[in-house]
Amino acid sequence: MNTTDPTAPARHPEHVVVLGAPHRAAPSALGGKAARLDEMLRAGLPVPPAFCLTTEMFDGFLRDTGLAEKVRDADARTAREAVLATEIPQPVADAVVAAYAEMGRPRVAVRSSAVREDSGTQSFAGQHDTVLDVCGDDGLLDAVRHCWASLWSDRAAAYRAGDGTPGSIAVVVQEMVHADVSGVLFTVDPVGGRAHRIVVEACQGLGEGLVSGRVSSDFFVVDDRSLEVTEERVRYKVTKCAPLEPGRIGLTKVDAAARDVPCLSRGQLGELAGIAVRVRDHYGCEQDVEWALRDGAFHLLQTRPITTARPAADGAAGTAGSPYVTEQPEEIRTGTLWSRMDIGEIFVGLMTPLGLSFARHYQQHVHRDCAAALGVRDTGDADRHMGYLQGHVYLNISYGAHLLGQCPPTRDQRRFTGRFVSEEVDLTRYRNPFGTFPAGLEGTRSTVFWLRHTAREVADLKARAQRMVRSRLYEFDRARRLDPTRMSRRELRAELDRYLGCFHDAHVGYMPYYINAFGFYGVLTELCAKWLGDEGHNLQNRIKTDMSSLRTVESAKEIWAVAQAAKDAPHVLRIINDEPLERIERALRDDAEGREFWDRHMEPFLRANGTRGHQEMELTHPRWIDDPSYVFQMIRRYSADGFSIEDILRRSSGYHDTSGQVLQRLPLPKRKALETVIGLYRLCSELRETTRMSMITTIWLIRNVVYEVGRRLVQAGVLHSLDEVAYLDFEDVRRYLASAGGETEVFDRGRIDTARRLHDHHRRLPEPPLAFIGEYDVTAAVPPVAAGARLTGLGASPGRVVGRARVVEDLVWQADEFQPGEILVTRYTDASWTPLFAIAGGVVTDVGSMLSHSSIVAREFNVPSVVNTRHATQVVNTGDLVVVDGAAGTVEVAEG
Amino acid sequence: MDLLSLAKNVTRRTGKPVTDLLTATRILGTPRMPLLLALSKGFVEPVYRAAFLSSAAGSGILRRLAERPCDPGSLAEALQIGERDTPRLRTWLEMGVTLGDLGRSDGRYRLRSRAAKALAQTRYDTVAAALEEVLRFHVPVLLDGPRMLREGRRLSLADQDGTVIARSSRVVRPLVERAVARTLDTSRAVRLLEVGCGSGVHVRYAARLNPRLSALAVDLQPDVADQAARNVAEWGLTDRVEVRQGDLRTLDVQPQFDLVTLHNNIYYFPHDERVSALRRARALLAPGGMLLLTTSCRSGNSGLEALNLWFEYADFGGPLPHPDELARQLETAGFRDVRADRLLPGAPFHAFTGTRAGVPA
Repeated sequence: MNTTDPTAPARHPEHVVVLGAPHRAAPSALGGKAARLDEMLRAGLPVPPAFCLTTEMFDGFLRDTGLAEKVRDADARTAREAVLATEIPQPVADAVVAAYAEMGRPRVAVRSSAVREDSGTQSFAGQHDTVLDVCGDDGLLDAVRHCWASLWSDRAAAYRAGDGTPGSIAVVVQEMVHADVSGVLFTVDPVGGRAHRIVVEACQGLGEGLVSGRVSSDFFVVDDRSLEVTEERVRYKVTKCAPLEPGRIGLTKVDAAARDVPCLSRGQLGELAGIAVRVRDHYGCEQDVEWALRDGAFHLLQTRPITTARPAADGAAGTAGSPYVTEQPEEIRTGTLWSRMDIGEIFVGLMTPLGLSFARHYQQHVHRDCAAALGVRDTGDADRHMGYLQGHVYLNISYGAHLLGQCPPTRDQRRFTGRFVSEEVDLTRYRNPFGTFPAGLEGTRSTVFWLRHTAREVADLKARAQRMVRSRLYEFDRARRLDPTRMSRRELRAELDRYLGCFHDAHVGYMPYYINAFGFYGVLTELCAKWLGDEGHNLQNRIKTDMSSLRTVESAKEIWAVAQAAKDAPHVLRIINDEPLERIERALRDDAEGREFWDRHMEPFLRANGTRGHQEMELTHPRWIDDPSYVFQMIRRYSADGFSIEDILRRSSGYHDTSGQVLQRLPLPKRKALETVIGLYRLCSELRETTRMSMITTIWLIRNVVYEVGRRLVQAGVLHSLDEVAYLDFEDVRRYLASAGGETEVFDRGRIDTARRLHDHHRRLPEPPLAFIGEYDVTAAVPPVAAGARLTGLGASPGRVVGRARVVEDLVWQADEFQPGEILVTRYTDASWTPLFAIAGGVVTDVGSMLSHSSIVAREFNVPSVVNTRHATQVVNTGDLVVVDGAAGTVEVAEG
Repeated sequence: MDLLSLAKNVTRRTGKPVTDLLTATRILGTPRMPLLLALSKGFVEPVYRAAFLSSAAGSGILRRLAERPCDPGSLAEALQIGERDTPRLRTWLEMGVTLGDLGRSDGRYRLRSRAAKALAQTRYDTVAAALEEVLRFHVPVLLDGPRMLREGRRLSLADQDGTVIARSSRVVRPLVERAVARTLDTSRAVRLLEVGCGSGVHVRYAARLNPRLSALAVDLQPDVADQAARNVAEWGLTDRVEVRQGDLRTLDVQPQFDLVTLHNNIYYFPHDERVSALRRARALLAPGGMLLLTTSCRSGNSGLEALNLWFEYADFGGPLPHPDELARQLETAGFRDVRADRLLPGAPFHAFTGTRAGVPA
């Protein structure tokens, strides 16, 4: 330390405040975060040691370095860069380093502490920056400058909008807790504010994983009087957030033994709840607490009053509990049947605000045209077709059935309604509040419309699918050569408009194949039951389509081929096996042999399959081409010794399709009729797969533009990271591209934070039902209690198999763990799971239906499958020996 | 047509003056005189008339006189000519009377000849513009050719009047539109790059044919690009059409275009630079995208040969292309499925198309 230089300005010890120790600094000089930590420490709460660099130090830094002048009238970016480029004067640096040395130079988290943070009315969460896992003197000083510079981030500016100057900023340096388990705790139940329920959410590793929503977490409710655990939902935890190397936080796998078990013991939960009660008593109001557990000891990282009133409904809905987006008459609101059973198979599950707003875009601009493509003349009111509840998208079955009543095949509403109802809905007293579609002139006009439309559709069936394939490849090849980072905002706007047009056309084009496939399936089911009696039982699920014609089945074979090519080039296979997933692509492209492999095998594979991903309507999910990790995992899996594609194909081809013999016994006309229906079912299933690929490719195109906007927002400092793209509103992205204004003019940081809080809230709620009538009361919902070791669902693919279960929560992270022959147990699947199906002994899902894509693929692979078991992932543990009966639709745990 | 036959022709048409002329010749006895005087009526006068009518049409005088007869004062006011110069305007108008294109009664001028009446109509504006182009560009190069060569002088871009060119190119507009209509896919969104957009009318035409079309239109000349941008705004197409001043050869944009068009401007590129310009256009296309190039080609037609002459004497650009040669240049530039089509049987106006190869399946 340089203490001898007499010309140096006075050192700044008074500007470094050890929190919790006696000091005279005013709370305003500490900033909101530091002041709160200071108070917590004084209250004797278990908080990791920390010191604060006050606002005076920052002001002095600006003054002494001459920055104050420079940044006065500068724009945010210039100011930010000037701060980052300016050395901290030696005396100031010495003071900071001295305090760090006193602490013992541990790894620390460096956070900015804004002066106006949490000033009562507004939550400033996320306004400024945090640098995690900092070590070393230089690293610390860099992190401090980084936090100071964040005062000029557009994000911060967005909060300040209207009240002028950036003001000042303090910085907190706090010992980093390398948590074994972390989480949040609410002293009051966010669901309906129910009393005596302390809600705890816990994940493995650092809490950052939980905040970003990238890891799964356990959910507990503790009674605040008895400190007893009253509710517990344990999820399978595959990944956690942890320091990968000093200074780098990232995702890593959770040890196998810790995945199935609760993050916290009941004793620990009681202890944590006890601390929370103390916090609440100290502050005298309900609190939202961030905590971490390290070596069995709890640490509190942050506590704040719960300022946000319970997020009421999902935005526009008039009444909480009703998915409707617009005001509806009482009898309609309370009588509507809603379902989210594999609607399009891309809407399953909780969606992010971005995903939801994109779904809403689909609803307003595409959905009615999809109905028209089915031959529906009057396509009704776009706002009624779909609804939203707790971050889930629902289809309005009542309204759909009413409108489909215009088409002769669905005039009987039960055909449509039955498909979307799960067994928890009792239809005996259900009456469609929209009634039947009027007959008479209107009805006749609709029938004529349908007939003309259908005649045209049938004539053009195959040619139209071919056009969709050509168009998909053209758009894919075009987009693959574009570098969106080098396009102007105007150009990006033209791109987005174009892609939305493609999306519209592809979706509308896909719909008839999708609906016809299930239409013919329905006809087949009826005819089999009528003409074949017992022999025809389940015939519709026994017929096989031509395997090679199914696009997604093909994708498994194509991964196999790529894996073989990798095997033939040991050097390439070594790269794939040895590099961490996120670096494989780069490593291959940088290597001569790897580059050739990429160009010859990976690129064509990605052209054919790369725009797949899971739950594709959710824009935040990366596609295979964006993140080929899963493809590499499958290559690792497929290239490992022990089985070959022949095994898979033999299993598939060895399957004996006896439907032919059964049909032989029918009289010729009936046989011909059945064969025709079977043929049409096969054709539509095949074309559905082909055109689905066109449809999801257009979503990938849109995603590219959205993420480019996200990248620019990160660059401008409006977003912390690309993860926050999830909280954008799709319409804002469109508005931004259509305007020439600054980022903050369009993207309101307050709205982004509100969206994030709402999404966090949705994540904590129990999953809403697959189908229900009227309104859903989340507070009245009783969490499903597993009924012993036997589960009942829908038998989606016949066959009986016994095997070890493997619960798969995260496809990408677990694909390489999956052993051939294991029973795949998961919440729901979609086309992207196909490669795993190929080696699974059986498939069990929580959600699904007979015509889920996954069910069709399971039948193709002849893999016994039971879907819609509702809680298999909670009842079955990895390693359990289970019996799957795909004909009876049951799953039994034989040996836990 | 040689001068002698011209003289005969003139004789047949205007008998009496020629008789006078012959008389005068005899009187004067100068061997060169008869020819000279013959020219004044039958050869020089058409040139005068062409210049007078072209100017009268271009300045809007014909259109005003078509509405009602005007006196020089009101015409001068309408044309923003100062009071002091009104007598000079009258002298100019009198020239029109002398040439037989205007008539005068009660001090007011009216249209008299059929040519004047025709050119006053909006639908013949392109003819008037073509006439102006002939007089302003073709005539000077014919007149000055050898002298320019002796002095080592060349025509430059500044010698062209953009607005005249834009007006006169409307002669071929229906043909260009036909080519666009044949090429443009209207069933899906199209991203168009128009190189040398001029006033922007062709982009407007394409945008109307396909409501999902969006375009980047560039023109080399800043004032032309500015005018195009104003036009685009006036047509309400600002959202879909972006106009930039730019040069194809240096344009730095991503290969986002489904269609690149070059209308009537390939001759602005020197002959030996065409392949590289076309290569550049190809590089801006998406795989499977298409180029549409329209141009007049060499054909022996005197008007086009004069245009060709102009470009031969310019310090930029090059000769009008021969169809086969330009098709070969497209192929050299890497285009596939190159076609050269005449848009009107017998007319020297061609549409060339070529595609950038798609990704092999």
